[in-house]
Amino acid sequence: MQPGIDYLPKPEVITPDFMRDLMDAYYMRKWNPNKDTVTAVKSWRDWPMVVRMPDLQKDFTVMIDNGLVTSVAVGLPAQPRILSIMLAETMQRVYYDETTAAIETIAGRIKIRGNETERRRMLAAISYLTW
Amino acid sequence: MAGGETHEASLDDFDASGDDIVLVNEKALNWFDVSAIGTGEMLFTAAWSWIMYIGSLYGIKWTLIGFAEGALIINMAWWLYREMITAVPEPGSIQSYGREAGLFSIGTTYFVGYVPIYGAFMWLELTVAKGLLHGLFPSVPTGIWPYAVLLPVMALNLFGHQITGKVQAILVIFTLVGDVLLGLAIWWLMADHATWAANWQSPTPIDWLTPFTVGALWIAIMAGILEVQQVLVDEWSDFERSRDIGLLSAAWQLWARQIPVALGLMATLPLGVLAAMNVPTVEAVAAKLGHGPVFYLGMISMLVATYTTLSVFFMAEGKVLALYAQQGALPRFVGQYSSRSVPWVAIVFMAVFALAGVYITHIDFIIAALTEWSATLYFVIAVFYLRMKQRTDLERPVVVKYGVPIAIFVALYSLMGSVAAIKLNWQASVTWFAIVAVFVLYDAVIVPRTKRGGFYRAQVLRKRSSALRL
Repeated sequence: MQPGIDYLPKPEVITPDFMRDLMDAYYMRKWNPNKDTVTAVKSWRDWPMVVRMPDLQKDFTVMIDNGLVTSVAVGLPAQPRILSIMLAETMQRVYYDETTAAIETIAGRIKIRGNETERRRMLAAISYLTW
Repeated sequence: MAGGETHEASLDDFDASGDDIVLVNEKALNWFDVSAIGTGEMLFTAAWSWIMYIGSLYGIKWTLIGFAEGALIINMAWWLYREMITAVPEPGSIQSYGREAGLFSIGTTYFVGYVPIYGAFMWLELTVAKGLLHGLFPSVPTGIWPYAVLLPVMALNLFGHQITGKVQAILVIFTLVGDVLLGLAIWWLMADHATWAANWQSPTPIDWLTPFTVGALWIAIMAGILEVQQVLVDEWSDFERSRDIGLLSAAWQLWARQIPVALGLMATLPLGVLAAMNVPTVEAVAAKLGHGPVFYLGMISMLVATYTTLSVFFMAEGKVLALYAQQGALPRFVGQYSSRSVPWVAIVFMAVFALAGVYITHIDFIIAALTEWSATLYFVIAVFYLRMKQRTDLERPVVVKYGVPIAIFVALYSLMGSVAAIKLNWQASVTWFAIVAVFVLYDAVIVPRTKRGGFYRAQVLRKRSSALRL
């Protein structure tokens, strides 16, 4: 954890709603203010990205518009564009700054699927989510 | 929310692999794309000069024996990879295997080492292209050609027009057809029995190391065939077919075009004459048939081959170099991606590296150093396999038959290949060993002591907590 950041307290039981809130907080703190990350996927207009968490057995829909994350919701969208698979445990480590999304992607703990070009854009965006 | 209503996947149809989710406009690489990328990597024009170099030293008979050995080792390596790539299905390929084998820095060295190694092959490629184009346009200053060949390919990659598997597949089909036609033309119009017979025996003395020397020389131009596809493993669809058919068919596609043409060429002119040519496939045709249709067919095939090889160099190795920067081992700017999602700093660096090599004239030294690299590469792969086999906590969805004896054979054969390479040019071998030693020390000692590198290392070595390798 980094000093000066008001992290969400860890609950005893990880629920989908907690993970939704956690991701929402993460994207607002790390993704949206990062100019390079936003620029990498600036061409995405109202695009739904699915985040699948096998350990939680839940899917989340992250809406990205003009490169910015606009919302996070539990469930699948009608027409997903990008799929990220990671454990809820990994997402928590990323959120609490024990690791970074870039490292976890490189290490293969975050797997990404999608159209070749868009997938590369996503990888580029994530590569800036470092420290 | 924008973008439509959401619905929940029931637990019954919840698929941890995500295969049940259909994505808009997804175009994953199929097994043929995977194969085409591998073939595209090794379609380098300099390979013909390399084969003629082997022939000029050892004659047709031993060149064929060396090919058979090389093909056997590549097939064995693929056999081992089937198990390793399924146990660790990550784009980190040899770096990831090294991590699981407890030899992370050696894996990293050979993985990131693909960048300068592939770059060194591009030195040969650009030197050959320079000679070829100078022969065609003698009035144009020679020094221009490496730039004229490389810069447009680099520019296209920087513009984001990356030669993906789909485009690569079209180009590979073109060169496959072109080379089959070229092979037929060479055998039909140029080859003769007398030249074949004269070139059959080795012009140099044969000793007990010769089988390993010819094998090692062949493996040097075969080794990359399985490697580059693995950098893109997370883009494969139909994983089993890509792994089992795509990976290996890349090798056989390459050989199906190389061997008939190479053998045909060896029956056209004395091997010493062929070895002195920059591009024997084109120059031998010119010498025998003049500047007719066959000449232009060969010319176009070779130029496309150079293009695909350079493009795969930028496409695959640019990612590797950027990755190493993202791992904290190189300055952060090296891992910078452009707004077109291209690792542009890495690509520019690699272009400079490739062009710098054009001014190096010690081709034999480079060939010997690359031969030592390929011999030790398969030794390392075999050791990784054996060490991963000792892990009881590593799930293996695929366990290949006779994996351990095959790995031991590959390791022992590779050791002998390494000895043969030392005998071929010990300075070149020592140079390669020194590069490996410095790289391993840097990665094992210095990188973990840096802020970014240390943080990365601690996380990447963290134990996987699920059977999905997540």
